[in-house]
Amino acid sequence: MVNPALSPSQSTWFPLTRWFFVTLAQKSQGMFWTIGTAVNYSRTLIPCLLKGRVSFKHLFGQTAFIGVDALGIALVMTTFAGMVIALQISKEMVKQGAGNYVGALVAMATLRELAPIMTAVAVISMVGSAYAAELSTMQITKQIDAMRTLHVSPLRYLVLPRLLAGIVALPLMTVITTISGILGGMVVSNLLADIHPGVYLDSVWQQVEYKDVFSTLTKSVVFGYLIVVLSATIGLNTKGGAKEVGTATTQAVVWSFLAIAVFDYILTYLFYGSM
Amino acid sequence: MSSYLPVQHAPKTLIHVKDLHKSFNGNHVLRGISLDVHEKEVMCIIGISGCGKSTLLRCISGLETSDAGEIHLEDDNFTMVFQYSALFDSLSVYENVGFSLLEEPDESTGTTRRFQNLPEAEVRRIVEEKLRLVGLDGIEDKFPNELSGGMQKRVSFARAIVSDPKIILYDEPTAGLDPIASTVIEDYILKLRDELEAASVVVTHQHSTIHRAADRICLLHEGRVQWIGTPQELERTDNPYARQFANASLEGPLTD
Ligand SMILES: Nc1ncnc2c1ncn2[C@@H]1O[C@H](COP(=O)(O)OP(=O)(O)O)[C@@H](O)[C@H]1O
Ligand SMILES: [Mg+2]
Repeated sequence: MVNPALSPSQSTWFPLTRWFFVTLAQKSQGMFWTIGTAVNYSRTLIPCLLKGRVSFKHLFGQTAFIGVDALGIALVMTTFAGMVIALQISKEMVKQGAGNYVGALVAMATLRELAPIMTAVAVISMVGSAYAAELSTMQITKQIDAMRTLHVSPLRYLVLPRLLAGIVALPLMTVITTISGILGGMVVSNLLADIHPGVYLDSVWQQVEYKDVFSTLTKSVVFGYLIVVLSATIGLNTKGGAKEVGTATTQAVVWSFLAIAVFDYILTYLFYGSM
Repeated sequence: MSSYLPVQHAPKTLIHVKDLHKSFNGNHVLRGISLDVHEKEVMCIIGISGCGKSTLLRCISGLETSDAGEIHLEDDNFTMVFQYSALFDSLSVYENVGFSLLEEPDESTGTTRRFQNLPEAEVRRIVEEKLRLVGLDGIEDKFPNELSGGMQKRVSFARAIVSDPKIILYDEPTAGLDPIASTVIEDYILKLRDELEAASVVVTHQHSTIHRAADRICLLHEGRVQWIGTPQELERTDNPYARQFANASLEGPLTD
């Protein structure tokens, strides 16, 4: 006889299955709610941006904050990424007689993908998380409510200047990280495969088109927008206490990563997919 | 004796709440509240902790949307004083108190400001005047975390009244203050009532506040208004809820 208490009967599996689906339902409900709220906020934020109804008082400070916090990390990440690409391909390409095209390949990878993505990753971890922590703390200590009862819009006062800073800072940073990623690749290909920097840069120059630059700048503006709006949406709608501030911060980081992965695909498809 | 004066003309109702319902995830907190507050009147809301007093204020101020019922404010120059100060901790005391004068108003709420586009010097003068009124001097350049809890509370009071509001909602304005600071706040609530002819709703637990400042008292229990009356009537009423609250006794309908 098998002890019935030890066998995984329906009564133990059922609650587990149920728990799984209930959790899934709750998580996706939260996700749709957050997306809906972010879209709703955008309906206020985008017209303000387009009409220039932003206080430029804080723009310099906020942009500098993003730059100082995240540029160093973004530079290191993109430079190493460019170096790794060069490391992966230089020797092989020289062997195949295509050494003249190493610069073109590194430039394409860095400019189109690595630089905007690495820069966004750095901004998410340094700045998006800080925004989410700050706004969620203001929310749970009722500072956001107090602002509303003083008839000042938290979206206009708190989110808009950060949003403007985000969509200004990310493209600027991406330009810098692209250059440093390509230069990183140049150094590595010269040291390891003896490719002359002049040949490398020539190949970079031949490859890069205006379209690539334009698509990358568009991507980084969209990434900046997504990071700030998602972090702000999650921060402003935090309920609870200190523990929820932590959760909100993590959530802002994870969601921004996911949003960037998805939008990177969508934008790449729009720019290059139809070719 | 309270300073309640009977009014000859019918007083104008500034806050009108009718059959208000509010629940949070099935927790039915407000179950049909009806309440009118007139100009030149201080209405104290009392009730045991967790009975929904803050929720009622938040519904009136529009911070929570109600599930059913009516809320009508006769004047859009309203403001709220929060239970835990809620000062902006990255701004100085001056920027906190002057916040609604310095920052652009949210046009989407259709709020008209009494003061707008004031020169910096004028804002500074108003801020200093309001701070002096609550007994604070020369702390304009300090930050909230450099102040004691009682001082923070008084700064938040000054911030709320900076634009001379007609409707003022106070969530436990005197909780955690020493008796002298409490008296200052209570007197100021009365002063605003008389000078601005403001309608005030004061959530409080404190007997001193009820007896010094209240024109009428409203007792909430289980999401309903159980009793409304003047402080004098509170002493004489035989309503069991009001009796138990007035006597602070452990036996009675509030604790059942
Ligand atoms: N945002 C909220 N979400 C869920 N429940 C809430 C929320 N706000 C208040 N409540 C609940 O409503 C009830 C009344 O709360 P509150 O109005 O703060 O009481 P009081 O101010 O009278 O002490 C409490 O049971 C509280 O748990
Ligand atoms: Mg309360």
